[in-house]
Amino acid sequence: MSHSPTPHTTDQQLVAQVLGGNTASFGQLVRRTEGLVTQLVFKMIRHPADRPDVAQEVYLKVFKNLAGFKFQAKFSTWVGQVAYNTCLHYLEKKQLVLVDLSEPPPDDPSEEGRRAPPTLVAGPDYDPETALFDQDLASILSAAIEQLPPLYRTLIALYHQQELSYEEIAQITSLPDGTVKNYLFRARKLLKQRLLATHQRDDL
Amino acid sequence: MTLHLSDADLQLAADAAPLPAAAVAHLHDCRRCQARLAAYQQLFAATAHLPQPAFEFDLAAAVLAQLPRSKPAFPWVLGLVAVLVLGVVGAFVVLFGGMLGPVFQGLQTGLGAGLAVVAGFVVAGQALELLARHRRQIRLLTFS
Repeated sequence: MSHSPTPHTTDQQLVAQVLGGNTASFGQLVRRTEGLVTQLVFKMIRHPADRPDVAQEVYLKVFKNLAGFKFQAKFSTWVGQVAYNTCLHYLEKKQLVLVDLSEPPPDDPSEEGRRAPPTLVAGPDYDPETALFDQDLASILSAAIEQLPPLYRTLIALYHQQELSYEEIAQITSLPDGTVKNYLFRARKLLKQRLLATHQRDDL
Repeated sequence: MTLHLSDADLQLAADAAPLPAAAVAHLHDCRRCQARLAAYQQLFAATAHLPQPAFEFDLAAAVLAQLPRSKPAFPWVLGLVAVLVLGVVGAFVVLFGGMLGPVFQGLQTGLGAGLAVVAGFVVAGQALELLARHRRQIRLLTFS
């Protein structure tokens, strides 16, 4: 009987194939989840040179513990959990801080928008489709996100880019739902205030 | 004095989450809150459209290259050992078979059968333990 993975093969079938000795099916599982893992690794690990090793370590751990995974959660959520914990372990080893709670409060909102250009967004006629091609906006926003603490960067990426629910993010990070919402709120507020502190927008 | 919406309310609204009726009514009439909401909406939309990070190498291929190769269920080394053991036992029986008969004549048949079964279990258990240990070591070496 052929066990070649197809796009329609479920995660559960692929896992069964891998456990049956078909390691090639593991490649399919990697491809299905590498977007999430890459996102987590890029957001949590600041040193680019360390990212490839961490990402590979994630999947080797997944492979090693595959027999213990009983589909209590989505496969991708479990892989995300392994990735998050692996990155956390890396940060602990390097004694890096996930979120600096002693960080000074953002600038006074009354000072928002009074500094020099360039303008952050085009104004009331802003069109997200157009923004897709706006490299300036993308690079300004990316740079601002990079300046956030790792946990804030990660939550923004998981919620807005990976489009995960609060519950899925809570499972990945082992944080309570309420804490995820709270940190995400703070992260977005901080991001907006920092952007406004350095880039003008007339209607704010 | 007009109470404007909090950042928490604005983020909820930008996320298309339901707001209290009073907040919705205020938002409908307040240009300042509308503008602040627009800023969050633009921020969320722009964030969602940021390019996804990607490695410059094939992650799946790199991972697959590090996985242990699937081994045959019965490794050829074990097969060779089994053939050798059978050969030695066979040679022993051929050479000394004639002397074994009188040795076993004194034993009762039931006791002999029992001993043989126990010995079989012990040997099988040892063999399985040996195989499991070998696999554990290979796995440790592969992932070390």
